[in-house]
Amino acid sequence: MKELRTILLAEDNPKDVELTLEALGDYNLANEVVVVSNGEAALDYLHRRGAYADRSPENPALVLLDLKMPKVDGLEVLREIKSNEALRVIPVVMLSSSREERDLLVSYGLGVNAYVVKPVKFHEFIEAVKALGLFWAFFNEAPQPRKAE
Amino acid sequence: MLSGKDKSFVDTIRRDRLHDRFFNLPPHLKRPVLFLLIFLIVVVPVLFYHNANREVDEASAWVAHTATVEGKIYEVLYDLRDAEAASRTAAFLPGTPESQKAEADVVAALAAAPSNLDALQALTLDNPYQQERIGRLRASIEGRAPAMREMILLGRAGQVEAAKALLRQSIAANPFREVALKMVEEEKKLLAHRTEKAARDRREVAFLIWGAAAAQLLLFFALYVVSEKDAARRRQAEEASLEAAAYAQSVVETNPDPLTVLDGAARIRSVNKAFAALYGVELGQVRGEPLWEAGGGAWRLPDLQQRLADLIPQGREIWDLEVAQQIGGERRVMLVNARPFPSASGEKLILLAAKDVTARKRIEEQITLLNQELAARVEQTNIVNQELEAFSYSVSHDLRAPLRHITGFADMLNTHLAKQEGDAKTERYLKYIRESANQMGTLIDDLLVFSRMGRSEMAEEEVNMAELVRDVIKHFNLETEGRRIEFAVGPIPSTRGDAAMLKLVWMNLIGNAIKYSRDADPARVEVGALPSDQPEHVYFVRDNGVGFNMKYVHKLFGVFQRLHQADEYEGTGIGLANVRRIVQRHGGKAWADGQVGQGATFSFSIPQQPPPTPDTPAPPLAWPRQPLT
Repeated sequence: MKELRTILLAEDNPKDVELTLEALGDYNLANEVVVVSNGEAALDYLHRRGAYADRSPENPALVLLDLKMPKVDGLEVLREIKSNEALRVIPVVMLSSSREERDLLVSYGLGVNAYVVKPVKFHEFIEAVKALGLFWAFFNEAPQPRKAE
Repeated sequence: MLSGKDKSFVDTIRRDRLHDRFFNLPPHLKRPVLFLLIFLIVVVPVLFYHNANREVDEASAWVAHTATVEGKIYEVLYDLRDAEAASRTAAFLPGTPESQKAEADVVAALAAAPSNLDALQALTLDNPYQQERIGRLRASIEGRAPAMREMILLGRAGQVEAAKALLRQSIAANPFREVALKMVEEEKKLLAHRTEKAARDRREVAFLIWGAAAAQLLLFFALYVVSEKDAARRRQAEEASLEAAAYAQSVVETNPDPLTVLDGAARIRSVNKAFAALYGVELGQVRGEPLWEAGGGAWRLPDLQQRLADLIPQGREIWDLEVAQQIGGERRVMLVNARPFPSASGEKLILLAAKDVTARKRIEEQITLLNQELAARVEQTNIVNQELEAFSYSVSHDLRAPLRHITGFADMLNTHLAKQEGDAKTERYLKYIRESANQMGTLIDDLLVFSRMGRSEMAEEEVNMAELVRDVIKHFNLETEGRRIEFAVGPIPSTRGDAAMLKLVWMNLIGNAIKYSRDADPARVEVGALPSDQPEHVYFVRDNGVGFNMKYVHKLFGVFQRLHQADEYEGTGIGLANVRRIVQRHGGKAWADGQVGQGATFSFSIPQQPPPTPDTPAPPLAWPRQPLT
């Protein structure tokens, strides 16, 4: 049995958080979802510092990043993840409200694993999030960073 | 081969060259050559004449000599004849007074004869024949003289007959008349010969004189021609220089820009009309005045003064120096040029030219001002564009989030209520909420696409339009299943442009044709291009659908403009606006023709040499090809 690792969701809008959690929960994905409301908190979590200094050392199975967030936005978090030796293997999915070319280009340039435009139609949104969670958190075999255990 | 005409032309050139050789001699050689020519012309004939004259003189002397010789011969001859005659008289008439006198005569004549012979001999020393004859003559005389003396003795003795016989014998024995005559003849022959030679010499001299005269004339003529030509050349050169001077003068005078010539101390030498008119001066008044004093002090410019002072000593020039002058109470901007030049006498002068650029300056200032305004406006436009972009970015993110929430929570509410006992009205209202939110989402998405069409960078590639049309028709295959649609696709030329954008154009036009011909059976959609050699391609899509009223044609291409109700034909009304925007960005135009119930034709043109697009696109970036969602 695969051990279910956590999913990190960085999203500043509580309504979107609720909708996303609903979608993930709907599929009975048993992964723990850690929700942070800005990029700074997301980086704290990933680097195990501040409020998250005590978390288990395992990296999350998937990071869902909202593009527009206060303080540190999704693109900056993405840049940090993909330039860090220990974090770059974590699959990152960018969630955005628009198909804005610039954002797309920058995200792929930084090495994002997927870029998802949040659809207005709820069903589509649900399906998209479910598919993401299933693929990246359950099926995807990510290389584990070597650790001295 | 040279034709006759050419030859004479060449000869002319040769002659000219000969002249040229003289004219092209260095000046210090010209004079000696001229003197040498004159010497030859004058002295050589004189030498010839002198020589010929001497020869004539000699010939004349010879003639005189011959006459002398002849005279002497006759003298000798007459002496002898006298002696003979006297001896006859004395012998034949003895005892008469005549005979006594005759005896004396004979003695005298015979005495004279030897000296005359000596003289003759001396005269004819050059002629051996005559010498020989003189010898014979002398022998004859010497032979006759004793006979004569004996005849006289015989006469005295009365023996006349014996005397006569002696005479006859003596004459026969000593012939001297023949010898003398021979000598005379010889001398005459010599004379004739010498006379002839003298005459020939004279003729030769005459010939020489005339010849020399002719040669002199010829040489003088040649000199005349040469000097005439020289003079003509000088005249021509003078005329040319006069003409050049007049030309320069007229150029200076008619030049609309003020010109003045200054001396080394910047004192005015001359001014042209334009200078006089502009600065209100007259040459007579300002000649010799420093430039600074002329024209009411318009030239009192320290910088220019310094530069003019440096001009000659430092060999400088003034190029387009811009100065502001007060001329007649008006401020004028002048461009000043000045350069030194040597006068005919070698004095260094300055030519100063001014050009009134006040008007140009004013226009330049206006242009600068306009450019500044334009730059400010462009800046403003850029700011507006940036704001618009920020706005649309904001719309795309922030406007869609609440919509998503409305639909999401309406859905969740629906699910939530479904577990309980929901009533039909609640369900319907929730459905309306979802539908409206969805529609708004679609509108926003369309608007974003439209906005992006105007902003995104355009590719510039060869686009196979025929292939695009085939793809688009294939795309609609699914939608048109169950309908009878005749597609008629004509030849469609390729063009340069952005394939993705142009595909959107065909999607919209062909999609519209299919949509609005829904009620026709069979529906007919024609796609093609107008045959044209114009510098643009015109493409069209024609259908036999519902058409439209041309009254509303101007609304067709507007954003969200619709000619049909939403429940008749689906759509937001953004498609044709996109078509127009894309075609415009390709430098072309889009238009429509139609009639209610008669179908519609939508056309667009793409220039084949497109003008530069109004916005300057950034270098094209690769579009991400990864599949999304």
